[in-house]
Amino acid sequence: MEKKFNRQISSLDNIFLFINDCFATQRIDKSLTFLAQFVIEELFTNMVKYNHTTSKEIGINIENRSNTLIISISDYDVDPFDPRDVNEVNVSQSAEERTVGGLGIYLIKKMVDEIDYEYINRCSKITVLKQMENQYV
Amino acid sequence: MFESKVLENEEIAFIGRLDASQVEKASLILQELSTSRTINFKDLDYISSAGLGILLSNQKRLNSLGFGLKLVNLNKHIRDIFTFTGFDRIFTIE
Repeated sequence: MEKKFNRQISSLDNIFLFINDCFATQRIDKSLTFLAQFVIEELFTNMVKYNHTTSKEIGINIENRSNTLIISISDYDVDPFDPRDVNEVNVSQSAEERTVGGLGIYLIKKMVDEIDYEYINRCSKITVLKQMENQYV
Repeated sequence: MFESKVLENEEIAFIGRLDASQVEKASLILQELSTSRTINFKDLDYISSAGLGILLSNQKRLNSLGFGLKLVNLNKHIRDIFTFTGFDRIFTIE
């Protein structure tokens, strides 16, 4: 299922409703709901915050392919941003030294099995894959 | 949606979803604190890096005053996030 959303933080409520709909209609393992919400929020809000060259909507696609959850987020008419190139976060720093910069992408890398990236015709598309461990209940 | 309330034991309960669209509500509560306080996550379903950000900034502020936040009753997903990020060493967690 694919749907496009206005590039504003207030779209998150509708995005979370869309995630719930996708999980129900495609019989996706509900234990991955938190992961899907987190991945999509972090990538979507990054696009809203940093891609100022466009006002186009952001596309979100969620599918269950052979028991693998596949989430793709597409941003149109923007410069490339490959999340795989983001530097590692030093998680051993003290509170005084810590910032939250890069934490979202860092956590996504921890949570999912694979991150793919493609940039075609100024469309930046990030895809994450996560194997489902449980059947839909 | 996100909301908070003060419990009978003076803990502050965070309730619902602490995402980027709701983080201002939590920020308003936390920035009022000037001593150590316990935040009860029992009914907090979700947190993103936006939520982590306001918790960290307020922990830094309170630490500089000699105080800090204690977080209790984290669900498994939120606890995992605190572990992955090392935030479990920045906050007192029970």
